[in-house]
Amino acid sequence: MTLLEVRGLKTHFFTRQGVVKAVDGVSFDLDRGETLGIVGESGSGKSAMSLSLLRLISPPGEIVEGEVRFDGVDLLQLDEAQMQTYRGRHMSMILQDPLSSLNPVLTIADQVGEGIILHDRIRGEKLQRRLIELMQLVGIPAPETRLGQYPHQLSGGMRQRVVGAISIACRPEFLIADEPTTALDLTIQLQYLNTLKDIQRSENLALLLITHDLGVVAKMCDRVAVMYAGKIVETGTVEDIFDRPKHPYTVALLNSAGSLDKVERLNSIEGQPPSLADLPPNCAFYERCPVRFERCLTPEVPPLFELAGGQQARCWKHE
Amino acid sequence: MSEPLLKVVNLEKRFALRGGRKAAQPASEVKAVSDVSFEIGAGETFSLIGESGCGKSTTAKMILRLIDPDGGAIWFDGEDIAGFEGSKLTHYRRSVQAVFQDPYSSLSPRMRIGSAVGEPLVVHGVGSRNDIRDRVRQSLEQVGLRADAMERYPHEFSGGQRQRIALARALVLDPKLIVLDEPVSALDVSVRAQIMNLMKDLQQKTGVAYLLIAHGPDTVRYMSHRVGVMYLGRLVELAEVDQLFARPSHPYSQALLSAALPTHPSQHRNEIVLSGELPSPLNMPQGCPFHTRCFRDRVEACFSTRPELRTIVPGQSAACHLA
Amino acid sequence: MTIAEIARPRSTRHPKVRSRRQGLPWFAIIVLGLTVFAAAFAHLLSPYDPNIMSLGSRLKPPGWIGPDGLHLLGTDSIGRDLFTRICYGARVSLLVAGIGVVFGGGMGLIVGIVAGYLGGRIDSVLMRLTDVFMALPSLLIALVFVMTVGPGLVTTIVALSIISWSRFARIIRSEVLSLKERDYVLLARVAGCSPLRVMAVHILPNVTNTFVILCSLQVSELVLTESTLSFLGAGVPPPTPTWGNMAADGRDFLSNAWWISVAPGLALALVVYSFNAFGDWLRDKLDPRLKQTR
Repeated sequence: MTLLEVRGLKTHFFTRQGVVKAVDGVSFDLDRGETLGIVGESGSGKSAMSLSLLRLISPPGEIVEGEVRFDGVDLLQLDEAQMQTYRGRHMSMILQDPLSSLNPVLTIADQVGEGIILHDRIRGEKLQRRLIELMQLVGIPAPETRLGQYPHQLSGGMRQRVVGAISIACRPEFLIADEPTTALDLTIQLQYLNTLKDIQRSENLALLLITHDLGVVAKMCDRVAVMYAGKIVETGTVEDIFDRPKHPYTVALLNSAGSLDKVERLNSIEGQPPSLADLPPNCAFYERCPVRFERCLTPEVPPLFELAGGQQARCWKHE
Repeated sequence: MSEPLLKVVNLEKRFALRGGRKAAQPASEVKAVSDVSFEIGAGETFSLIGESGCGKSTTAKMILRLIDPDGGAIWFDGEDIAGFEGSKLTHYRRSVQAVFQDPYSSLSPRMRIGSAVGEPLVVHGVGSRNDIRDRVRQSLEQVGLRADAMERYPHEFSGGQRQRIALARALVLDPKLIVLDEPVSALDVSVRAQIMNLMKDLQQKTGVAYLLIAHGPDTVRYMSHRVGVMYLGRLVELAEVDQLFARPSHPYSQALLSAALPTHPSQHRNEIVLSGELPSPLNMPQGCPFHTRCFRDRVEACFSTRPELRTIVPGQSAACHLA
Repeated sequence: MTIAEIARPRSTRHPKVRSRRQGLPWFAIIVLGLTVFAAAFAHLLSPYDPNIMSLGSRLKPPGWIGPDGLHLLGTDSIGRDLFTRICYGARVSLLVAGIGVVFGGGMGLIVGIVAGYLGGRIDSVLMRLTDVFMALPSLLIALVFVMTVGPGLVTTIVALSIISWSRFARIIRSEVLSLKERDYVLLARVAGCSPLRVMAVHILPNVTNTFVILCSLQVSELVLTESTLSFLGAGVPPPTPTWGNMAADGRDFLSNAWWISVAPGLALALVVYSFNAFGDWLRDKLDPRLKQTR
């Protein structure tokens, strides 16, 4: 069942250098219990997109257009007070940096409990039980001791688990994880991703996983949306994307990813992504595209073409 | 084997810790690097891989003489670098360069690219103004940048381009060794491949040796000839790259490689999930430093004696009682 | 109502392109410009001599028209034109504070960079010295110094330098401590740069912003200190007009000729406020944390 429907979302930043079109017409659906990976490089607009879903964009940024339907309610029509009841309660977020996500002067219990007290209004014995349960859920050993500690007494991996516990404390239905493991070491990343997957299954969460790492996508996601220059350029099931990529950018990303097998030479794409403040009138990937042809020069952004199996690609090849 | 370019012998570095919150607590020491030995041949890429706090960057800094070791020695071209002063040190500085992880802090924001890349030449008094300009231009072209970059400032460049500039600067003196400390981990996937290819090409062209510090096995796999795996300040395995990735001998190497994420959704690697956390370096385990997280059937010796690196097969050695 | 309007945060009044920095502090710039102008052209702006007594025109209120013409701000107890004296006083104040900042700031800059970059024993010694100067009330240091050496223009400038360098040193040093861990500083060392070159080429240009901001904020404090010293009779000695000794002159006449003290006091307040406002603006403009380009 579809929990989140995003339609034509546009978030622009009005800076002195010009209008930065960080999110430029993004649409997707997300079901309960499903994991959607948003893949893109820095400057692709994926983080601005995820903040827009929670309406956490602040000036000079602004959501200029679109719909974000959560369980049928368009979040962009709500006033700020109503929106606050959605944040934390129904939708939550894990950010990249576990250290700056935690307040150094509050104990772990204070921080994990904050949302519960606010939204569920439980206290005392009951709260303590819920906290311990949460800590166990995210795989923190000796929860009773940990709850009384401060962030600096915990390792990076443990902190990120605490951040995870905070984000699911009020049993949200929808969770955004923005590069949740970038700051973690490899063995800790593996532990953490496994835990995240377990939580997602047990709580039937709709998970939006923002990442630049195709390995994380391969391990975690059901469906994938690839973002480039503020737009989704390809969507499909994770198998479609890895086995039958239809957009040349997706192909290039897959080719340039490293591997543990012996590779003589990586196929890299040359060039840089375009500036979001100065997008070309035609396909944004044109400059770097290895398979471009005359059609791509028309001053018109290619639409998302429907392909077999629900896969979509924003490339004139599929016209 | 001929004399290696760089030879590190029993390197050791301790960091003093000020007494903690309890004022009475005496200042204690943490061993960041202990008993590390390896060699790098001319034109070779040797990688140190391990997780944060394993001592790989500290080792690199000692080789760059940014910090001084507390024990052991570093031999470069047959000479102990600890004694280098004056012209010897200058010569060493010309031969060994570095590229660091963060492309945004590698270049002084107030310095034009031309001056930044040319600075090593100026410092070492190489050539006239025009010579320097020419060599800077050559160096920039070598890394795929146009000569007009010289007049511009770092903020006009993207992360990948800045990493190219950092490479140009490192190459401008024709060094024999470049220390690459996580050179691509701050870059985007598509740019990462560009830079790795570039570094490989440059090595082929100039014959420079690389010491690569990395935490990602895929980077190490692609770039290196030989690899050292570090855990808690020690080398736990030393091997040819093909050997290590085909048959890692130390359980930590096995766990580290198994933690690499799949390259395809259908690929199910036999994940070895390590239990527990990295022990605090203040409270180093007795016996094998890895025994607290080891997933093998540990024997008596694991808890009592620290295993030394020993050869498992020619070209591959590991510090494990069970290997 | 369109979606865009609803989605916008509650305060919709701000224009779309919101500048993160404040606009130019025009009031401060105008005040400072006029002050500098008055100081530079004091001898052209007024027909009166700042130091010649005229007993016939004693204690005249602002706007009094005497036999020799208009006295815009009135006259003091011995008949000198206050407007003229304020213009000449600006000259002294700005000169003394300006030179004080240049010397004190320069000294602090050097101490801060050397202590921060070299560290170790040099750092400890220099910083303990700084602590001493920071711990003692600056006015006290200045007073003691002036009393020992004897008041005068040069003495005042030296006194102001002495009290301002320690703050520069402290702040610059902490900035250098973070700068010296930057990769480009490490790379400069790897490239073989001498400590002197690293400090001059890699550290100095990157602390100039902080230095400039500190200067503009510190000037106002020095203007104030100079006036206080003069007010206490330990600054630039009379008859040279300074705002401090002018205010002091008016003390005995506050009940019947308030303008003698109030006019220079007001000038002082305006200038100090303007330097502070300008410094704040400069900080907002130059602080790299507010810059978008990374």
